[in-house]
Amino acid sequence: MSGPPGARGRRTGLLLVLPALVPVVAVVGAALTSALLAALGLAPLVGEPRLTGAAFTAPADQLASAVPLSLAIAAAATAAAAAVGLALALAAVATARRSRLLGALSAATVPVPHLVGAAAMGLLLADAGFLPRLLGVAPEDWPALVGGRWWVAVVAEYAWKESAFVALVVGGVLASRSRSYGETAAVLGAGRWARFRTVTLPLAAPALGAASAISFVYVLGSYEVAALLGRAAPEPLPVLAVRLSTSIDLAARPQGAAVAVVTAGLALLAVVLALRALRRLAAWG
Amino acid sequence: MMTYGPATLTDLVADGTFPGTTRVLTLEEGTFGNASFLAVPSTSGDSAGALVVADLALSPEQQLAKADPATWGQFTVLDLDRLDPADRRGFEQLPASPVVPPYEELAANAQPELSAGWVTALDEGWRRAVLGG
Amino acid sequence: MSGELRLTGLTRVHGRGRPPALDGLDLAVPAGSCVAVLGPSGSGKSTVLRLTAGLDEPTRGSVHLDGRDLAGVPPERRGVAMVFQRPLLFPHLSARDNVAYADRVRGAPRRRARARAAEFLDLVGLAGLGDRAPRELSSGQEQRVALARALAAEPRVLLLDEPFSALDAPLREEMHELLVDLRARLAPTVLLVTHDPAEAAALADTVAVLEAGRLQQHGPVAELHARPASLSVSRLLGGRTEVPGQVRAGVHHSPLGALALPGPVADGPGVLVVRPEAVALAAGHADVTGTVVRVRYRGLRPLVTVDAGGVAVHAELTPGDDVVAGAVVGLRLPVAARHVVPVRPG
Repeated sequence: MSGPPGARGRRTGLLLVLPALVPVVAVVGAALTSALLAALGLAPLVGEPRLTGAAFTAPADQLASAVPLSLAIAAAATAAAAAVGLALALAAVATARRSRLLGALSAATVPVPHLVGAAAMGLLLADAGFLPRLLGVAPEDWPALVGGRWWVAVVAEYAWKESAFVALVVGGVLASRSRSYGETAAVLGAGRWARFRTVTLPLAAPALGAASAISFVYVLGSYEVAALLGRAAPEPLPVLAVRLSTSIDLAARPQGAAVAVVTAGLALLAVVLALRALRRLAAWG
Repeated sequence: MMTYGPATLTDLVADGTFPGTTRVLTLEEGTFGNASFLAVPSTSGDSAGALVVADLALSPEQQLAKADPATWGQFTVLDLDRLDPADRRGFEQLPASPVVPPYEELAANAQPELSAGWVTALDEGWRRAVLGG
Repeated sequence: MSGELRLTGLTRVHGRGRPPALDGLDLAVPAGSCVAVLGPSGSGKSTVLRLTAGLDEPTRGSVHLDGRDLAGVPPERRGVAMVFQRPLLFPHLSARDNVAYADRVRGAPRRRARARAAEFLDLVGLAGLGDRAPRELSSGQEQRVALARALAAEPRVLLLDEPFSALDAPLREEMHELLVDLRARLAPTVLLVTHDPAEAAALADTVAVLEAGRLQQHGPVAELHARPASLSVSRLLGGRTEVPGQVRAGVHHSPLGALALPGPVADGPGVLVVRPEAVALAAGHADVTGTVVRVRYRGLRPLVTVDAGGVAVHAELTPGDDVVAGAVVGLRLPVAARHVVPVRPG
């Protein structure tokens, strides 16, 4: 009954996603192409086009600090979002009645813009923010969560927002299957922890992996939260790219494009690695 | 308060924004001068028209109007010695201010503005050493 | 691996003011036997299994396994295993690892659990398919793996919740044969839930008929067929002829006439039921004469409805007994097949 989809089914599927695919390819393709041309010196603001890798080598030392910083922020935020999101999803499917409230809360978080979230996180966590006031901690005793060395507010904002996304995706998958499989495992002798480890987690893994990959790539390429809540130096990739692109030094613009291209390349690499890992997981999904 | 246009203080004192005791602080070690520039992008579609506008902005009439505290109160960039006597008289007849010292006193010991080439380097140093330090 | 299951006064009310899903069920499943709970959908039969497995808590009553009260014991420590209507094979595990699951969660080493799993796969006729992923199996194979997985857990009671009703008829027949073989070899205690009287008859030693949460009758299949306790039991088991009348001195009087009954029955109003397969065309003397109003076929067997004085008599004839609608026929209702169901007061 469930044979492999034939070439015909694949073609129909392709036709169905085409309306979504065309604008994405057009927009992303145009943006990447122009960034690549600018980065390679082929679209200079002044002077003659000349193929050169100078835009990549000139900000090398800044890239050397921006790449690990961006990867670390994205990894930390994604790990936190995945853990919190999974917990939310599990809580939501544990009892049907509570799930509506949790679902509504998660769903309400998703449409809040990151900029608004960042502003709220800044007002909450800054040394003169709501939280230190609530706890009665003097500003000078409060750790530098906003603009500090450890990018706590930035990671917290991304984790908060992405955890709702993860919860929504994972919760949707678990809602339809975790109960029946959980009961099956229980009557086969699996206790609560064994059921979580051997059934719930593997069932959630493909959705959790996909949602985490999307979160990671999003955080890697996202500008506003890092710009608003982050430290001025060192900079993560998107902030570096925007600063170089808007510098009064016109010669820095190709460097901004080069940083953007490096960011896109990293994101692409992350997607490819995630897809390869997911294909193994989704073989049974 | 800090301002790029000290000549406006006369009006601000007159309309009561600042008290009558307001004085301008001059720095003994000297100060950086700051002038407004007009630039025409190399890629401008109509540089001839832009140059006409620039000439107009630098004309004695426009400069005088700009120097009038009732209009803007910015000191002129023109060298008065090289003006027609009639134009020079217009500048000389501008009211003296009880608040703002004359241009000669303010500009004494002033350093010329930094070369534009320093701007990014200074920005970068500030960002790394002060904000990120 | 077979235990004795006893359900006492088992009751489950899902919400205040709602009729109980299950109402005071008493049922004993002797060790090594197979009891089928038969009922239409919504009769509460699945509730029986969920309460037994510990997936749901009874409002009242108790579940005893080998004399031990299972109240408050979680499903994973009850020593029961369950096969559902859907196979529910864990999609991330191979067929072999699905069967090895119970051993693995109990801490058995992987190698030993897999070796045992291979034996159980062999037992259900799937030797050599252990490496397959669930999605690479047919629906019949999937359900065989599910059965092997439940058996490998070595439950003291095996609970089967309509396990074959999603399969098409030939596969269902195969699974029935498999289960009969497994019973012969392993003698597990089985509590089976089904809505199909043929399945109950094929697999179970005794059948408990459930309707609206209440036990109607419990006994061997033959007894339920021959002497249904109520019209609903009769109907559920495929009985169709129902003749209202009066019993006087062991004889049923109705528009069909006076028909002698096989055993002593109390006088008073009663409904005569006769199973269609017991009714035959009369060669000589006819108990009932009437006009054929409908003929349809089940395989080669004609299913005939005869109008006898305003009463519909249903007969499942032998192949070759071809009658046509409109014909006047004589029918024989064997005395041993006549049974009177008392008219329920009210």
